[in-house]
Amino acid sequence: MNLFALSGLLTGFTSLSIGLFVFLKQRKTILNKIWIIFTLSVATWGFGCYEMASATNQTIAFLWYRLAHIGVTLIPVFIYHFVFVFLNLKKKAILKIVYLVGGVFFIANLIDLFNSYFLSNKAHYLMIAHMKWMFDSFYMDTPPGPLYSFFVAFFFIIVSMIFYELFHALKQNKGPKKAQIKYFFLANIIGFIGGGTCFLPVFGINIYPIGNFAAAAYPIIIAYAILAHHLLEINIIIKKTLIYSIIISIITTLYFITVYLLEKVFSIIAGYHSVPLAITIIAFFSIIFIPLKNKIQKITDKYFFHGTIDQIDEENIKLREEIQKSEKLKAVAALAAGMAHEIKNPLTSIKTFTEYLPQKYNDPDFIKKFNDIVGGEVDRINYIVRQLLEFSRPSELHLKKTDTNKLLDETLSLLSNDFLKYSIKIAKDYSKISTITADPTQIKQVFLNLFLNAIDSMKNGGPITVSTKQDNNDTISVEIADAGKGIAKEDIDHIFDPFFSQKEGGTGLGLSVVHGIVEKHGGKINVKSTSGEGASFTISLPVKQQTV
Amino acid sequence: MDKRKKILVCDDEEGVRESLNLILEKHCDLDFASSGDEAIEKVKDGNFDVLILDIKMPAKDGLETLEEIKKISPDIKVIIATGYQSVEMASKAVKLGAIDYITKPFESDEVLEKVSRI
Repeated sequence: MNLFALSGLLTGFTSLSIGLFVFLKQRKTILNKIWIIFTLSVATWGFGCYEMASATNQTIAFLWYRLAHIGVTLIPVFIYHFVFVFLNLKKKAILKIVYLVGGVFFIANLIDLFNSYFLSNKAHYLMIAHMKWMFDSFYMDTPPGPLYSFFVAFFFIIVSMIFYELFHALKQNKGPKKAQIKYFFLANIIGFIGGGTCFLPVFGINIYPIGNFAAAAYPIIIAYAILAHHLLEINIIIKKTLIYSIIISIITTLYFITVYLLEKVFSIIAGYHSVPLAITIIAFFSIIFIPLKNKIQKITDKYFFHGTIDQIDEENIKLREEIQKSEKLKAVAALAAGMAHEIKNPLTSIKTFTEYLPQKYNDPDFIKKFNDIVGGEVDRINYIVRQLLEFSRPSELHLKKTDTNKLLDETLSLLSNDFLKYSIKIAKDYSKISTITADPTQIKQVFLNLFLNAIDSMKNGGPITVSTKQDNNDTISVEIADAGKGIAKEDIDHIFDPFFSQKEGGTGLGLSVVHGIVEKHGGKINVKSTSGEGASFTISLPVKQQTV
Repeated sequence: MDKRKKILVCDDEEGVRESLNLILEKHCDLDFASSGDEAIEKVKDGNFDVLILDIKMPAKDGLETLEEIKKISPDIKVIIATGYQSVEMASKAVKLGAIDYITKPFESDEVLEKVSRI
């Protein structure tokens, strides 16, 4: 096989492959349909060149070259149409002219084919008229048929026009579209300039058409543009492992070929096979193999997958941080809104009463209300701010061995007057083992808040059940269940939200604080309730803390 | 103010009720409710010209209360009292029939002016 035949075969194979690929992946768009026809035209040229350059007699060579020109006459028409759609060009008149003129040359070539078959030596050929043996095969010779020069001029006018449009579009576009245009432009420059050297011998310039190999590179560049930049709207998810495998296989093959060739060269020079030399060569290549493999992996990641795994991880971390920041801001906004309402109520009383003080300081009823209300509201604001601070910047844990049963009893003792006042009965069911590592002050706060909520919901009396249980070696659970008003189904998901309160005079921070303390201890809190049927809070706390 | 209007103040906070009492007692006949349900009962029994209604209340909130009161007394003029303005809340209140709002802490002149305009 000569080089020109090889270039034709490669061109045919790569073009057909890319055309088939697009046909299978995405053939519905007009752009892709035109592309498929274009690649078939190039494939026809490629395979036709191969057959012509492999032919052993002139008649067969002529036939194949004319068949190849079925593709060649269509190439400028369909590449122009592709660019027209790809760049969304407006002048349809030009497209029509291109089709018209291209059609003339296409028909002229078909007439030549027909004539060569039926009229043989008597025919006057319009396009390819002469052939001779050169470049180690049959090739088109000068002078060409009367229309051929016009066809070549038409070919290069079209190529110039698409270069102009692509250059213009490259300057105007940004982002992914610009990248697509860039690679498409590159493919066209390489493909058409290289492939255009095939015309030179027809005009007496006998340069070997080695540029035809560039026509084979054209589909490869387009394939890259499809993979990396979604040209032709084909979205491919190719597993990295597949790309790596292909590349590593190629390198491994090259490696073995290199080792074999080096060893062969040595044996020719030295006249014998050297086992130590063979081992040395293998060892040398083994040492450089891994760094080379890693380097190729990085290059593949960079050009095919837009970054190494590390870069993608970094981007993911940044994205997560952005999301967390955004969530925090949302939470702060919600907190601010809730706090605004809670503080504005007491401020309303303070403002109005102080405003009316100058007029009403002699009014004993007013003074009494002033004393009752204003002082209390100032304390209330202070309490809200304190709770908020506790909620937003929880104090450090002072961990020690804590007996939860004992802590519960201490808390119950604190509230004994309230239980008496509201006729609340306490039922206890404690487990024998109840020691955990925790901050007793904060856990007491949790129990206190839960008991206070229970009392608030049971002003008409009833039972509160308190139980502790060792779940397993790792956790202890505490359950506080009341028989009060319960929590509505639609509120259950919000009860731990800051400033959410269904209680008169409630700040809505009590359960948020409870939740925060439990979480800080590495525990969990669950609530079960039905409106009108009481509520049960279960806290699970780890027996051991990591820091102790 | 021409005629003494009959105003119902509904807010779960005693301090807020007392504040509105201080501002309006010389100019209007006032009654008070500390919850949405209580306000609904009073509207059924009484004949109020104006309702000053807190938006955020436990159990039944202001908007829910407003909706129910408007069914009982469609002509009652409702002024929303709120500590936190939001366009969304204001638009919901207007759709349910509120005609104005006052923000906490109150400006006495603003409260008097808005009530007198009704």
